Amino acid sequence: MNSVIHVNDDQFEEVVLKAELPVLVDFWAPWCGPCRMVAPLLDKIASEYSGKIIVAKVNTDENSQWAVNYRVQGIPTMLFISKGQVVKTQVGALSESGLKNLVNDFLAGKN
Amino acid sequence: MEDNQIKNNSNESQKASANYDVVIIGGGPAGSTAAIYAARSGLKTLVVDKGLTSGALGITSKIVNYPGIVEEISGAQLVEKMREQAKLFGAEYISDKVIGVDLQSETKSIFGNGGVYNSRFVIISTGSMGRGVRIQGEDRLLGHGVSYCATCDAAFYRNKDVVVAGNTDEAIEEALFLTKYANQVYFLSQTERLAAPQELVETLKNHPKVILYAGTKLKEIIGENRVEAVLAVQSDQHEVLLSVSGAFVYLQGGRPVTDFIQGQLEVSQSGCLIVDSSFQTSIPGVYAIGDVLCTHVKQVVVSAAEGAIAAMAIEKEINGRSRMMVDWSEKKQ
Ligand SMILES: Cc1cc2nc3c(=O)[nH]c(=O)nc-3n(C[C@H](O)[C@H](O)[C@H](O)COP(=O)(O)OP(=O)(O)OC[C@H]3O[C@@H](n4cnc5c(N)ncnc54)[C@H](O)[C@@H]3O)c2cc1C
Repeated sequence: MNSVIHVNDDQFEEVVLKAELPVLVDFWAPWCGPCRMVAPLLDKIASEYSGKIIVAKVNTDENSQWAVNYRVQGIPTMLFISKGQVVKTQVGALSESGLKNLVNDFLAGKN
Repeated sequence: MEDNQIKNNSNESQKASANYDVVIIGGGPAGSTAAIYAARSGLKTLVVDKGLTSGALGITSKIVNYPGIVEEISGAQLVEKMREQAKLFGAEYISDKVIGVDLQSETKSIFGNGGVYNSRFVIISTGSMGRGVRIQGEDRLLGHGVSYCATCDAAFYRNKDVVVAGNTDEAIEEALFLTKYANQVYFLSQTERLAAPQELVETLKNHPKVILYAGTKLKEIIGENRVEAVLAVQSDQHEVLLSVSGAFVYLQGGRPVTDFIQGQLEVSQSGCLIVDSSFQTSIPGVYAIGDVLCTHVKQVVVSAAEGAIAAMAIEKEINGRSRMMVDWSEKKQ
């Protein structure tokens, strides 16, 4: 069973951009309520879609480089990245079913 | 790839707080009356509310038809009295804005900007001051300069100029929070007078980083990939263009505040929450009262009455009785 991977700025390229699998990366910070709401959902996605998707998290408090690169100015921001390319961006928290719909569409190449 | 090579797991963000019998979302007359009844019948009760002047009663300048209150009283004072009364019976109040809920499980979770609250029963009493139409540019630039949460996003605006649009205490608190990071905070209030306690208004007005535009309406948020400016219209129809990197929006309207429910409860064709005669929604244990219900008569006394009915129904459920217990005062003495 896979869990969420925490990546820092240095690991981002290797773990997210060069990944074989599609990646869902969440930019978050500890003080952010909506991020807290999304956290358990991301844990769920990581385990339920184990082997199909990588779920990564970047703490923008400690790692700002990629957040700046992607012009992230609000958290949580979730990027759906396939072969190094952002195919979908979700800003703000959403419900479990909402997130699962996004993930399913992403994996089906519908974004 | 082996996940555990890298720092694992994410339960750092699970700041779950103590469990309550009932969490009430919104502490206006509906929610605060429910809190009075729930707390008085011994239920561990929490009210999560985002501000005194963020609801319909909170902004009403004078209330003359609430039974028993003869002297001239402002809506905010009446809400405060109700809150005081609920606290006397043991209800807790937390100042936080609810942004999401998980109502499906036995233990319901309420997510705020500041914390997560868990309970068996939930009462929704957020009123009907929700927004309908968005400002031009708002949706497109959400997350790229447009934000609804200063606590979440202020740090992205260090030494930058931002605008805050709104006129409630919630908007003012958010603006003051932003001053810790931003270079300049332009505060646009559509109304000439701010609907907030005087000290708070003074703090805002006197803050060296804040420039207040009273009677000024946010018209458009401008920028290609990120917010670059906002266009606003003053009461004399003069337009002002402010160069900013962030736009924090706390505007209100006349729609039931149900966005945080994210489709978890059944609604009618016209989008109104469906409740039964004890104000229970389509999910057992979840109630909705007050102006958030569209069919209801928008009066303080009606909202308060619905709060009493819902809280008594919950008490009945918890204590497993078949009939609602009437709250005679003798009972407690
Ligand atoms: C200008 C005006 C004048 C009025 N005059 C009268 C009158 O004279 N007499 C009369 O009987 N009625 C009057 N009314 C109607 C009356 O104010 C409402 O019917 C009543 O306030 C509804 O109560 P409520 O508790 O359902 O909602 P509200 O009073 O709107 O309270 C809702 C509460 O929910 C909170 N809230 C909202 N969203 C969130 C969130 N996401 N997270 C946390 N908290 C949240 C708000 O801060 C607020 O405290 C008037 C209304 C207006 C607008």
